[in-house]
Amino acid sequence: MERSPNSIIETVNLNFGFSEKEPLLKNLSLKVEKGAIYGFLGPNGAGKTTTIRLLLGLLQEPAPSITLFGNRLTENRIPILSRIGSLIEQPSLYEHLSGRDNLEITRTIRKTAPERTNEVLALVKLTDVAHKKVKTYSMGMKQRLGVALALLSNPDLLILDEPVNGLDPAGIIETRELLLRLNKELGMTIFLSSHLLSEIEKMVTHVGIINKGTLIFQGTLEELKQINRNAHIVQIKTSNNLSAGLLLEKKYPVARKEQHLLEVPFENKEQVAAIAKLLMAAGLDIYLLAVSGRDIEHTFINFIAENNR
Amino acid sequence: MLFRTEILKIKHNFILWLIVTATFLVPLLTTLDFIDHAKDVIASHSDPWPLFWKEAIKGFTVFVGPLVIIMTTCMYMNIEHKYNAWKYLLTLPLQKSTVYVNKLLMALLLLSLLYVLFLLFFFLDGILLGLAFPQMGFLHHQPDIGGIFYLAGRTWTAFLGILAIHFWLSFRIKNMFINIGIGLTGICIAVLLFRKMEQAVYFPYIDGLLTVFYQYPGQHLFAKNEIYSLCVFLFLTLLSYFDFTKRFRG
Ligand SMILES: Nc1ncnc2c1ncn2[C@@H]1O[C@H](COP(=O)(O)OP(=O)(O)OP(=O)(O)O)[C@@H](O)[C@H]1O
Ligand SMILES: [Mg+2]
Repeated sequence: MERSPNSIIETVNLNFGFSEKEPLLKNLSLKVEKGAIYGFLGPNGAGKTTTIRLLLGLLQEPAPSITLFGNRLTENRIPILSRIGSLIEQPSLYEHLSGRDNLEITRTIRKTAPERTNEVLALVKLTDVAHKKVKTYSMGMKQRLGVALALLSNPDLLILDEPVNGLDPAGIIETRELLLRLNKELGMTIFLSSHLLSEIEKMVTHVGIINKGTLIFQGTLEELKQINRNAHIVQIKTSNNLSAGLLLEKKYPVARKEQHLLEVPFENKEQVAAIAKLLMAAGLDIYLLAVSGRDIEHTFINFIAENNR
Repeated sequence: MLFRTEILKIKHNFILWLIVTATFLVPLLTTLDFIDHAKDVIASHSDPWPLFWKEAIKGFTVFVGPLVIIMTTCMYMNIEHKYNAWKYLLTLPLQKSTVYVNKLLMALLLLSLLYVLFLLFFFLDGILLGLAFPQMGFLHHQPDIGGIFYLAGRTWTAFLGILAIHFWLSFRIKNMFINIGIGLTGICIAVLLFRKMEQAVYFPYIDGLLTVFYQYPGQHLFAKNEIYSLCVFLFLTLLSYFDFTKRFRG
């Protein structure tokens, strides 16, 4: 098996299930290149956290198929983990201790320089509350402390499971800017999961979309946007949208929106004309025929919808 | 290094309160008992230390004994469960064997801390009694320090078996109350077996009681129940070590 030395994370046909009968991850082949910010997207229960747990050795892969930094995870667990900073689901924080103590625990274990504690506290803007017990922190503050823990050792790879979960818009922007800076200035490769494309769209360079344990798209953000450009819809309102819907349904995938608004995807303008003719031939008056492109979130949702069909 | 972080984790934790309270109360109750029976103690005109020690160590094995040891072990191990931290600890660049060994050492240290504080409060209370009731004779006699440490060491060993049981359960069972409940059941059975103690050597929850109620004062280095407890400890620790390093994944 040829492996480009540039890939930081690579899985080849990774399969996994919590029970023999029910496979959860099916032939997952991820590839995350050096310097990438890889957004791992999928709806709830798609298998994102499970994949991340496998990448970190918290779950056992049935056959060795995970390579990190070009080395097999099964044989090089410790050296690989020493180069990764991670955050899985809710951050693991000792709430009866202060933020600083929490950092000190990791710092001691990872044997990083003492001044790093203050540095990462400043990076996530928690310096002022570092002495307070973590149980007094808000959810967003805990999330930021979790990120600080992951950053402590200046890792080559950051693996973050829903890092902006629970953050307010300002917090999301701050985290995004922090991650972008780490990526640009230190060349950190970042792998992060989310179930909302819009949350991470402004920072990722690459996207992988997982649904029901299958990778249904993997490529650059640009490639995903290209697919998006080809997808457009026309919104329709007529004198009788009920029969209009039934009529169009015979030829097109119709979506019914609030106030009887109909939405029909199309690929070219000839199709729009055809739709108009069809409606008029049926004696319906057209009140609205609005053509619009979809936002990229739609493309993502559509991907999943098509995959589920 | 890792051990230092384990010590940091019990800071501001209820465990320390429990340990201090339990070890403070037992000698205190013995002391109150002595004050209550001050006349008898003074009338006997003998060295009060052996009786004071006998009552205190009995109180310790009954009240601190299994229950507080089980509780501290479970509460200590529960820290990682409570804060979802196993998944984090196991993704740090650490050998799992290192994590296991440090956890076990800390559990043993907490067990020893119970003894250190208990002995400290015991001697302190003895001296205070001597000052308050000079006729009792606490200050005129030397306590048999060697004998005291010897018996303390034997009960320490007799408690290792249950420590190993609950140490193992405590990383396998997320809910520490189930774990403590199992311990309570064990203690209740031990109390029921109290009269047939001699035959109940193989029930780990009774080993501590056996030392003070039955084998006291033993002539041999270690009594049967203590050796048995040590074997249970070694055997279960070996099994839980493999369970932790090979199968436990947080
Ligand atoms: N320990 C477990 N035992 C059995 N099934 C599990 C376990 N953990 C997760 N699952 C199941 O695996 C599936 C995938 O879960 P996973 O946590 O990977 O999803 P996710 O993509 O991270 O979702 P979310 O966006 O909700 O975090 C779910 O159906 C879940 O019920
Ligand atoms: Mg998840």
